[in-house]
Amino acid sequence: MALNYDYDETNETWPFFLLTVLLMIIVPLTISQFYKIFIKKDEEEQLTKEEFKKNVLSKLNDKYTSSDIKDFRKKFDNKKQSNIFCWKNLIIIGGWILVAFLIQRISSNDAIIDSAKGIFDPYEILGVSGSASERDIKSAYRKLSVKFHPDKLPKDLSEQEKNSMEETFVQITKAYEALTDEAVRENFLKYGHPDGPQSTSHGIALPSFLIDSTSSLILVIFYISSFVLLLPYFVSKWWNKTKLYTRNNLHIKTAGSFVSRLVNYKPSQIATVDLIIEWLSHAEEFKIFYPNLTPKDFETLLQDHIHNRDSKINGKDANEMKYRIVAKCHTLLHGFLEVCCGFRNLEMAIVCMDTFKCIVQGIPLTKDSQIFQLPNVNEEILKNGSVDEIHTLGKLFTFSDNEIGKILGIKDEDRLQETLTVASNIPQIKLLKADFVVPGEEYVTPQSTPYISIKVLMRSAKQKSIPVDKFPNEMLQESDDFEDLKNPFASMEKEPLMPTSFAPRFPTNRRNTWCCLIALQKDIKILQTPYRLERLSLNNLSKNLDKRTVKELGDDFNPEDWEIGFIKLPLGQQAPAELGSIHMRVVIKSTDYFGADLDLSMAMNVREPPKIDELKDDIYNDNDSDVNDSDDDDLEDDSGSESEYTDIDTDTEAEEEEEK
Amino acid sequence: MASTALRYNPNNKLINDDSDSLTESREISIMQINKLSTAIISESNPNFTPQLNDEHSKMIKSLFESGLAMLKQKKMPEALKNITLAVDMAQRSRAPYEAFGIQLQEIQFMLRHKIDLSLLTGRFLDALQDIEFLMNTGMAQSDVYIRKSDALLKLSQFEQAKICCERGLALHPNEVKLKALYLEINRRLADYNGDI
Repeated sequence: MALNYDYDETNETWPFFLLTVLLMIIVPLTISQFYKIFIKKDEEEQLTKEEFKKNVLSKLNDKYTSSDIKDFRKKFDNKKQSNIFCWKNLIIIGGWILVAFLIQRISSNDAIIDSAKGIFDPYEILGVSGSASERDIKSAYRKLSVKFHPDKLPKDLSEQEKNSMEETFVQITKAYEALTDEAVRENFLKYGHPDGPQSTSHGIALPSFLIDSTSSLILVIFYISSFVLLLPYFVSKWWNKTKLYTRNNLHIKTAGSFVSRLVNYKPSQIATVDLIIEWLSHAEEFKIFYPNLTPKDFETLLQDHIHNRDSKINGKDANEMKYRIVAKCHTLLHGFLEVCCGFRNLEMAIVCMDTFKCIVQGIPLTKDSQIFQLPNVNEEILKNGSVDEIHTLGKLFTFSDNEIGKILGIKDEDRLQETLTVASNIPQIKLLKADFVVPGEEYVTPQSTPYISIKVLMRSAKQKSIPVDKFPNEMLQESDDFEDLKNPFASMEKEPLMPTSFAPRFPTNRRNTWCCLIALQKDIKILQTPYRLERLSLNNLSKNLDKRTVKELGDDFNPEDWEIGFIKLPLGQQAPAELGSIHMRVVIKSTDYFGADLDLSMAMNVREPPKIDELKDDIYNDNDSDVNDSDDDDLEDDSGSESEYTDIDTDTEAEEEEEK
Repeated sequence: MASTALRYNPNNKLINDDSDSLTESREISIMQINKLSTAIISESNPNFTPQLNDEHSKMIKSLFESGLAMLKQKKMPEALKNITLAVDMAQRSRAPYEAFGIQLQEIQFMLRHKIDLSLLTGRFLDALQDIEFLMNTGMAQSDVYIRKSDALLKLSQFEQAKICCERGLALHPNEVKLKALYLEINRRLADYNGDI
């Protein structure tokens, strides 16, 4: 092994090396950045513009948002959006300049051009194309050899010209041999030259000026710093980040505190929104934002938000702190919901979702929360004035517009109309049909993998309730397309994204999500992690079917005009091996709106698979009655089979964390 | 637990915690420990077996029976008062180590009467609390669900009533009363939501 390394003295290799590395980084980066800046931005802008046109709620949301919150939004949005001069763009620009410089250097470097000349290409020498036939090659060779053969050269040439002519002739002969003679051809293919292996040199593609005594020190320092300092630094930073935050972006300490609270939670304690807020206020995330404040302060801030009070901490205005804390609650509550599901605690999960609504709308949980989420409502008048029991939006819309104005204490006509618009655009779910479906099967068979399919009608509180039987059965059928059978959940992805919610008191713009929880009726324990539904068409809400004017649904009612929402929830477990029925409770809770929830009970009837073969049927006919008997036994003996079903370990991050 | 403020009082043999970090759950735990130690200290027979205290049983029984007697005379409020007293006594005066199985049966039996009386006298919130207590002791008979749904219905908590009724129906699919109640709840719920 050579002790002396050859460096790139003539600067012919390292520019290529550097160019390749540079282009490998810069080209994808440029493309992605271009996409982000031009295409995605356009799409987003279009989306929001369209939404503004279509969705009145988004517009009203903007209108009712206080200037304080708007300032806050601007401040925190700007950080993300100033993408013209961000570091990524600077890297791209610098990179391309470097590329240009390198290309210029390569093209002006004689050594590189020389070495490029040295490459032996027999086709070029003979002046034929790469796909030329043997005959063409032969004729080209003959022509050239006549011209350059030493015997046929004109006499009046100088010595030098003679020599170069002779050399060309040698080259031509070699090229011809390379293409025709077997042995020479092999040499050419193997080593790139008809004479066999050429002298090759191995070296390090570092420019020699880096190795010179002065700069070699810099190089060594660079190596050391990158391998000893920078690399460990970035790896440890990345590792800490992944270790500090759970999959749901919850700080590990926060998740730990949630887990310990749920472990120590006593059934005698009553789960309330206040309790959850107290638990939230111990979150590590808040402490990272504001290290000087105590959990008590955070609790006060959150309660201030819910009760719509101005916040002051130590006599100073703390509204901006409040907004930051409140905005963070989105992640915290989603994380907490996941922990609740890990503990299979449905009661807590439901209260968690109620807290979510309270924080998003900035109102406390009361019987009248549905009404208070509307803008302009006068609390005093609503509480004292109403004679009838009006706690829901649906009930509110049984009165005429004027009466509603009186009930809610809104005198201004425009404001009343805006309030009514908000009220009629809050989505409500009406259940049409719910079943357990096994793709490709008529019903649920033992140990099959069913999913829950819920057909709903998204409607407005203003609209007359449409009885389920108005919709023909075909509209509620599961699609039996091959694609749908293969992946039943794909169709849900095609639904439009939920529009921006009406939540003027929440510090950021947000979209409604429905969290779907599935629990067993037997012990009301949650079966699996929540499913988040973010896409559902709300086109029905704009349909005109005012319950105050339409008394009866006449013949002109066309079910085809209405869109039926398909909610498909994957089940994490198989159907049990035993026959019988299992009752489940499905809770679909909105994160943003009061009164937009659905709570239903479903029975999964596990039945014997249909007999495929007539003959088999005959053979087992005698046993059949037995099977039926045991069927009934199973039905009565339900509890046994169910408990087995319950014992299946639900995946839980929370438990894992607990173990840690 | 970082705090070391847990103190043992050698005179009354109780522990107490007067630190600032006293949380509600900690307080409950301390109370439970104290209750158990007082009960064991006051036991005169050192080789006791965890049996029911006859004296207490007698008192509770007599209180409960007087309540039932009142019920026969149609004096609902008095009957409720006596039975409530009996239930309270069963919960409070019994030592924590007394045979739990028998205690549980006793209290379940009395609570059911108490719930009925509360519902009759229109104390739905009390009834609801007792029903939840009863459910937590593992009772899942259909009549518990009927009573809970009914109480919730009377309290105009229709959504909760519907959920409770659905659960009752899931566990007891053939209960006619629950089915009737379910229809009623759905009707009231539709009215509550302005869908009629």
